Amino acid sequence: MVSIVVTMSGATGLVFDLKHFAVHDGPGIRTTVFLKGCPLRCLWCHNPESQSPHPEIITHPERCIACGACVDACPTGAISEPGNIDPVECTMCGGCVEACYAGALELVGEPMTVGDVLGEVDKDRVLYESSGGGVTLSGGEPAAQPGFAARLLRALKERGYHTALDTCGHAPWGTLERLLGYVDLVLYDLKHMDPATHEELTGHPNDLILSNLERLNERGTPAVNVRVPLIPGYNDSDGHLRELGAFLSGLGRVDAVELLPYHRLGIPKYGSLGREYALSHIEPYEKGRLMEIREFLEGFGLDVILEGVD
Amino acid sequence: MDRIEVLKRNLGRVVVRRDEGEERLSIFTDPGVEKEPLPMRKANAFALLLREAPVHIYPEELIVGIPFRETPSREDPATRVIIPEGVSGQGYIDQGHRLNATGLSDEPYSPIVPSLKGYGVSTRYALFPHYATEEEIAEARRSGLDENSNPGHLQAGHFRVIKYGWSGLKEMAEEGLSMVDDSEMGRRRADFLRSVIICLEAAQAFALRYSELAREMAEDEGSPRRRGELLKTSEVCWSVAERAPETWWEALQLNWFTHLISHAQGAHQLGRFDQYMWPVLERDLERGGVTVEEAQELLECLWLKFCMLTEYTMDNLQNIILGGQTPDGRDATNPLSYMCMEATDRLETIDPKWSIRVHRGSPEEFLRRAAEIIKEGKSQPGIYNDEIIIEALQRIGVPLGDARDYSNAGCSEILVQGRWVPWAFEGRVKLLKCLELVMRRLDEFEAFDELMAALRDEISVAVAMAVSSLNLLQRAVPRISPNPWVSATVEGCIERKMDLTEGGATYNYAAICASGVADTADSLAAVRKLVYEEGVVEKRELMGALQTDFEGHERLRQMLLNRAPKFGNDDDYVDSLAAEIVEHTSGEVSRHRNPRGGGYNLGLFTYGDYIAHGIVTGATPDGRRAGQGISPNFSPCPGRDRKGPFAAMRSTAKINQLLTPNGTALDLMLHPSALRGPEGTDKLVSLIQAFNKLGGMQVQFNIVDGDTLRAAQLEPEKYQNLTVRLWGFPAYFTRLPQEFQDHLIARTEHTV
Repeated sequence: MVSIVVTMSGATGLVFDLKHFAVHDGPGIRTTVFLKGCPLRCLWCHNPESQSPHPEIITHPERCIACGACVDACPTGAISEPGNIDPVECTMCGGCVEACYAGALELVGEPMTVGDVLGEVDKDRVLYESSGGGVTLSGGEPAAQPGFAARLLRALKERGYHTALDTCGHAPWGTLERLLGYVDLVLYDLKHMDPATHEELTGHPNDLILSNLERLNERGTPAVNVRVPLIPGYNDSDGHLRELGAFLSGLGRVDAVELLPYHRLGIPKYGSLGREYALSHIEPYEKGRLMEIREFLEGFGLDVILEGVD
Repeated sequence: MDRIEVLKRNLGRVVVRRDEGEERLSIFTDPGVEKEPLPMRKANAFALLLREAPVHIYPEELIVGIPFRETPSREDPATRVIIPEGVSGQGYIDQGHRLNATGLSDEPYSPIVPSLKGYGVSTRYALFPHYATEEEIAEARRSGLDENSNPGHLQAGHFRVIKYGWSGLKEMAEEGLSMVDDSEMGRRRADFLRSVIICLEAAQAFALRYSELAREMAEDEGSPRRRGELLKTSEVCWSVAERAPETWWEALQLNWFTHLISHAQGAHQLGRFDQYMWPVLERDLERGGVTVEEAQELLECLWLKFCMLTEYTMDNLQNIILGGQTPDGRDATNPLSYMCMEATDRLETIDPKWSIRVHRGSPEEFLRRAAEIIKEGKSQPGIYNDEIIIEALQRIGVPLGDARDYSNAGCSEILVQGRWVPWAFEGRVKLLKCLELVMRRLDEFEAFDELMAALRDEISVAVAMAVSSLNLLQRAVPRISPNPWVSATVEGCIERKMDLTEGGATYNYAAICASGVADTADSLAAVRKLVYEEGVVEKRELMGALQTDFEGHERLRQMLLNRAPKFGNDDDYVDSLAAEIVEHTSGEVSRHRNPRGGGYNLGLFTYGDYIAHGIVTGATPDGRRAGQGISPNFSPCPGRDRKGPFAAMRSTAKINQLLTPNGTALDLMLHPSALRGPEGTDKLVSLIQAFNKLGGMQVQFNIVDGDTLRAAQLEPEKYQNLTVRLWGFPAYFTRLPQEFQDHLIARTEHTV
């Protein structure tokens, strides 16, 4: 069994990716640690494998050599033909992944200790030093693994690294606050100002997210960048952008607003997970429109960063 | 239209002359010539070549002198007429490919690069007048040489030419001549010095032909502005012939003539252009002889002359290197370093090829400017790490001051500028081929260490074979093709009264280049882990699978590919194997001596042979199929470095690069999105600084995404200016053969 016990003490975390040379998650060149599990289900999510708090098996049919090893390896008969796993019968034992040398089956979600993560992170120390970078904790939602996130962030601070926390904000304030003491910069996601629409788009209303952001603002530290994914037709109307701009400038302490324009790079992952992608009809932005949106928000006195264009 | 635009337009107006037969010149028209000693005959042939070379000045040119393979069109004098190999070079790539594409070779090693006849000993400019006796030619043919052969990757002593002028060098030779005695040795020395003097005088006469031409053209010129320029050009060419340069214009013109002539003699690189040219420019600026704007325009005129020698499918080795340190250890960047970058950036040409030297004290501004240009996708410059390279040179005995005056050679090899005759790239060891042979005996090895020992032995043999072949060649070249012209410029030759082919230069190292470090390490890691440690693969099964190119063993191949560590991911398990191989190879290489009196240095370069070396190597236990290309230079195997560019840097930096004084190069591909904006520039600078701090030797970047490359394959006409970096030089992607395009696409693009 590969079943994972994420202990309450947070000695082990479930990590779904660890990205070296990350250049869009805070200052300098960074290593970003992606924790698995997220309370939100954003329609546009480009990392759908990050959502479930459990390990998952994803498939890459283009790598399959049809050797049949996975069929032979499955103890429950959940795999009738190569690469085709019946989710009902599957017990997540991981035997098929182990047998798949071609890498057509992949287990997403690796249990790692704080020491494991540090081992990877320390390799890039020279790069953090020369670039003013550090480590970013992202997800999923890091606050969904609060014990591990806190231990990891503390250990990173003890080593003198610059730390950033990328959060969707949907967590009890107390949980978030436990982390903030070890964080230099919060990358705080904000998707929509209207509670009902927010729920439609993400599965939850936004009251907790907005109130946490206000508290973070009052707290004074750490620095906060608000990140807004721009989804054509969903949160980019003038009315909504006006409301958003007014709210953020009213906070007063937001250091920068990062706009993350919708892209389609995550779509193949839905196929790998055997899931449907809800927004396949959306086309990415033209550059001109993005510049307009940036200018509009700058009108509120905000420092706006346009990711992928600037 | 401004001058630069006119010059650029003229460059593009090329007519390729395909069918006109070449009439070979000969010095044997005069009776009694064959009794003269070889060096004198060579020098006289050189003089004949320069006397017969067409001269022409295109509209608006300030720096003049056309390539010897070129004639102006009679109908439209702005049009260049070039023979085919002057355009496509009958490329190295094509040639290497053609020679190797016959299938898997069972011959264990071909220690000398197979395309040697066409390139390693440069014969590409097959225009040299006939000067050798029949006996000399017959003997040379046994070594694959002829009258057009010159050692490849040579560098003329440009810094000496600028400092002393041709006339100053001639005086030195004359002084030396007055001191030789009448012994056998003395006569040989005198022959050499006379051959040098003949060459220098021939160059002077060549410059005077241009001086005369410019003056004649001035007489017929209607525009007073242009007439003035032509008269000035005439004066500059005259000065160049007569004395060391005093003005910026003279220095540029002298540099071009010297390069143009050297280029036809196998010497293609410019060395530390910003260092030896700046003192002249500085004086001229101080004196008010030239303004900064005029100086920049003149520089760009020279840059466009370099473009007359652009070849599209091969490296023309026309390199300059900027920055670094002065011989006394100060930062060497100067205003000219920036002017050179400006010219390259503005003209958007791939020539001259350029690189930078970076040390701890390199100015931030210099690095940022270079990083900005790299980011634009120009695939230049390559980055050389002063700290490691200077120490590596000191370690082999080069004094500190000279070590600090290093530059790159033909592609990316290291040499001390203008003092060093390298034989940098002809001797080859295919590490992966060695491993392939050892794997055929896998069942004899009880333990992994035994396999390693066998591999070490195999490598030692391969090195010895490469060295002995290269030594034969080095002995053969002076007997057919002494090089008095380049000898006139390279430090040491006039002083020692000896041709550079015989060992006249101050430094006479030769090199052995090893290919396939990453592939070999990956293979060893797979065998160690899966066969010897885990026992999940049987020796016999693996041997059989390799013999049949994995026919019916695809699952095993996938296991080898995906269940063993791969070089380039900062994994000690495999990186330490790479280190062990390089250490052994370096030790073997440095045990040998060459006939010119120098030692041997190891380099980790494949050049374009990452395709060719793959073609002659059977299936290997890293999961690579027979005939597939191998890793380029000292880089991870295509697509196998998956942990970001810094992990690849860290893997390579674990190999002690003091052991590779001939040089190494890590080729990295970065996705453009990783480096957007001024912040992206900072990040690229940080990455370079971190690489140097780790102890990496040389890194070169491709800033391009796979989608663009794939699109360019489909619609080449839309991507004609798409520039990519090959093994050490930028090239236009759409003009490359398909297999080189595919290999590039397979390399990992590190995104975000």
